[in-house]
Amino acid sequence: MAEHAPAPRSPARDDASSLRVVDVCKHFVAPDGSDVHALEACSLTVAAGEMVALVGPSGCGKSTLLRLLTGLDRPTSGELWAGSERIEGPSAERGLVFQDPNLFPWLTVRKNIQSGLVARGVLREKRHEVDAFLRLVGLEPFADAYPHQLSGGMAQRVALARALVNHPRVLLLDEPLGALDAFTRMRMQDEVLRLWRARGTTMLLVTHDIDEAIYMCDRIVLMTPRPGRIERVIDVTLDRPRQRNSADFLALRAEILEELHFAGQAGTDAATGPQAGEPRTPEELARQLSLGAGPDAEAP
Amino acid sequence: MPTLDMPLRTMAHNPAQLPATPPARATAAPPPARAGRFAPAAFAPSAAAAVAWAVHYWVPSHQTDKPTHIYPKFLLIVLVAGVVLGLTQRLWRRVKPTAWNFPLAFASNLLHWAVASAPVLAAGVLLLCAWDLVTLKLALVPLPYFPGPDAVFQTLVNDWRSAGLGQPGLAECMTSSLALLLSGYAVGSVLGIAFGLLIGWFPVARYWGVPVMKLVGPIPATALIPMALMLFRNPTLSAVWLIALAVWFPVAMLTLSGVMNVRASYLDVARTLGAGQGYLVFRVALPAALPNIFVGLFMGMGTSFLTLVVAEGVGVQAGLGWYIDWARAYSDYAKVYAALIIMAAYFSTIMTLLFRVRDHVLVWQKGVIKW
Amino acid sequence: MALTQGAIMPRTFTPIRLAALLAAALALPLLTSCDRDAGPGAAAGSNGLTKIRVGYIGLTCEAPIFTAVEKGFFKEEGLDVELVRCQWATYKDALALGRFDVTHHLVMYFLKPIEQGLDVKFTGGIHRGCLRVQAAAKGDILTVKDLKGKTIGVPGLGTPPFMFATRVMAANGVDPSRDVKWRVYPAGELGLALDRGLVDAVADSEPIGSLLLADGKVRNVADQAKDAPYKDEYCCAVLVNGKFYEKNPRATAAATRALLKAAKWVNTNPAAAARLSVEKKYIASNVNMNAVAISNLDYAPSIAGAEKAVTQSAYDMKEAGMLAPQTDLSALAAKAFVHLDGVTDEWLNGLQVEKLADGQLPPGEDIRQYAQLLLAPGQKNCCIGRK
Repeated sequence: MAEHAPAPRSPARDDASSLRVVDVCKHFVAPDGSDVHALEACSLTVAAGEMVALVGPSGCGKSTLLRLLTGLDRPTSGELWAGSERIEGPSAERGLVFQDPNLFPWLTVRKNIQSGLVARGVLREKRHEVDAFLRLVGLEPFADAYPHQLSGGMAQRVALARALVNHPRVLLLDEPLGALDAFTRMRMQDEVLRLWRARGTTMLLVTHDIDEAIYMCDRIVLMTPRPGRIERVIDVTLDRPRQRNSADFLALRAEILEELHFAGQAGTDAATGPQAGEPRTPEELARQLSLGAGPDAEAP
Repeated sequence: MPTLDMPLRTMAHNPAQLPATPPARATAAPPPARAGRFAPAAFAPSAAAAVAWAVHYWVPSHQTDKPTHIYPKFLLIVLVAGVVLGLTQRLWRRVKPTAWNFPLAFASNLLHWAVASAPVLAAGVLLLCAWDLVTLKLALVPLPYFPGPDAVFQTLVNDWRSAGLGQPGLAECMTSSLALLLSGYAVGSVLGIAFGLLIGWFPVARYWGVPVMKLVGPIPATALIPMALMLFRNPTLSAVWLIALAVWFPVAMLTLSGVMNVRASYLDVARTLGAGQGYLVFRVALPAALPNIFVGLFMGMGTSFLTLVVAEGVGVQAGLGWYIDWARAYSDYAKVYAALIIMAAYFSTIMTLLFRVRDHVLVWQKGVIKW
Repeated sequence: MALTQGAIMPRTFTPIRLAALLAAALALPLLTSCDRDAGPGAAAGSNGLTKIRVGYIGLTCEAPIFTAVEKGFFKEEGLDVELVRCQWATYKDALALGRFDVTHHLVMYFLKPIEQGLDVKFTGGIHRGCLRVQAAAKGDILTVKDLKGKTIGVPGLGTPPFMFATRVMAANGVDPSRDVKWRVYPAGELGLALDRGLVDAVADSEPIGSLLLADGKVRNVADQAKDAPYKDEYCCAVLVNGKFYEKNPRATAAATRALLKAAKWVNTNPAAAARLSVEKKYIASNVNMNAVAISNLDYAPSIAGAEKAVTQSAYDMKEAGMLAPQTDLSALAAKAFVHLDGVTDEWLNGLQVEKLADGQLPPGEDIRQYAQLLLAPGQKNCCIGRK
């Protein structure tokens, strides 16, 4: 049964839910004094209601780009736009979920979730929504638990609910499932998809897990390091729900691996020569990207 | 279109399959009541009291030939009470106090504690006996600096209403000192937390505030007496000011450290939730800094006691410090020890209360980090 | 300073530890109260002189101690003196616990402690009068009877000024426990308390009394040096550590004689004594002020006078309720005062001291003239230091 895409919405709202990155550079000085080019000349457009993944090995600048989009950092040059407004600072319109759930340890689950409402001063009007969110993430019996009593997956669900309570137009997720075990991760991927379908929020997902990117996203942005840049944007046209072992899935996966490998290699040869630990083959790259023993052997 | 209410599928399909850890209320209920074994250890305080009484009665006194009578009476009371406690020990259980059974619950809990702590109480009584031997009986240490427990007990009784010459007695000194201590502590803590928050949050405030803190903080209270007299006409206010200053320094210092150590990611998350400056300071930085703030509050409690004796030398009419100064002028050390014992009892009680407050406020801390 | 969240603090502040800490805090001044703690005294030195440690605080009225050292009176008596400088707050404890062996100090300071068991003894009277009750110069308190219903500042309950004030009040029909309010302030801040109106009158000892008079802030309501019957009573007497006396009665007698002779010398040559005290840096004061202060004290040494002071003070204190009701006064006096060999009034009467030509105060000088001198602009005075 094919799940349908989110219903179309009014143009005004569309506008505010879209993101634009225009020629953004980010440099900073490392502790040892050297200049680090985290991002170089990145440009990207994310349409309203899209689910987009930023994929790449460590050091490619994906987390930096995400942070610039939340507004917690400013670019060295270039512009970032959320709809028709420039991104100048953090806002409740752009929610954020970290790899570490970062729940406020002094608040219960319920109070963590409603902290966005308290921060904006709208608790009295919107208090009833908190129960809906608790139900949504399946944590109603734990509403009065403290974060230290929760498992990793539960905590991450609370973090998601907390990020969504303000009905943000855009949700930015920085490796949200990286700390979870494989089974929980797969369940959580389904849950995030469910949330996305239910609400139509634009989502931008940073991950180093290619399978996750292909499984969840409409488009995959491949980034490579040194300097951090956008190598290529791939449209994923597979039907939802996606099958992790289908031929198309695996072909796309191989293609992406090749792309990342060669791009990385070209960049390396051009710049500094092969480094120790650099992946030389797609299999090595796959291992680096924590894909485990992939089903490459079975790919047709 | 699926609605917002659609719940996510979790692995548990019904409540019975939810993880076993219940979201326990963080305040642990007292352990379930159960009758203890009949422990002979509950009689230990009586045995100790008997030994102490025998020593006091039969060993000849060398320090003075006129020992007083309150101390042996006290020992006899302990002996009898201890026997009664030991015989009834199985009756006393830990009961959760509620609004209507509070006196009974309090009594039961207290007696249960007494039974459980019987060995410690016995050791305390034996300590009294040792003190008696070293001072009154064998005169191993000289008068007037080391009177026996009988002198101290007698003083507690004699000086309760009046310390002589129409001056206030220990009862009034106790309430006076407590009021002074608590007001100084309250003022100092509140100002310390406010100051620490201010300089912890705003870099400009920190630039000016930290040198002030480092200069003013370590000044000993004795050096500040003239300033206290100049600032306040009312001697009670000068005394409160001296104590408040002594408390302010550690509380401000540790609030500063707590605020500066708040995890940046908490602040980032809060900002993406639409938090303004007020929320960030009072609802993120302050709660995150609370463990450190409590360390400061405990330190401040200690310093406030040490400053009490000095603070009461600026014209107050009564108080434990005032009483101690007078007693030292007379070299009447029985009075000094009596007052010190009362101060130690105060300190112990207030610290216990402070720990309880902390346990309630910091209920969210993981058990392993608790101190 | 990186105390992380949940810093570990052990529960060390148990009540026993606090009591110990407080006791140590109270005792610490004692440990640090004297400059040097040489070994036990009265060992025979290499030069045949007996070693003895003499304590002092650095007060105007300790002139006999400085004189005895500088003029060699101790040496004459066969004593090798080591001076030990101490603080007022722990002075009696320092003497009782053997930080030094002999000194002279206020009789009323020691009587109650001796009743409590302090092991020190009086051996001879040094001077009369150094305690005063004073009221604001601009106020309306003129006599002791005016003190009824007023507030009085004292350096401490149980200190000699307090005891003197109590005795004076009791003698004038004012009940010290009901008719006045007592407030404790550190001795150096009594003037400030009076200025600020926190108290109506103060009771103090030298040098505070002379300082306040020189400042023109106060008038005397009662003066131990001038008012009967106190003017014949000895305020300060020679004191010796009990154990030292038991082991070295001869050295004790020698030291007493030296100090009494010095007292007589000071009485005869007050200006010279003042010069000596200041120039040799025993006290930080102005020579002229010091001379006037010394001459106001009556340094006429006496044995009988000291014994009388002890018994009279003890009697008054018991009447005022400061001594325990069961205390036997004659036993207390016997414990407190010892008669030493060779230290008698006959010996004192026959004692000759030199009279220096420039050693006396010029006639007609009195404290008001010196107050004028001191208050004149441009006059430096290291005692007052405020002008």
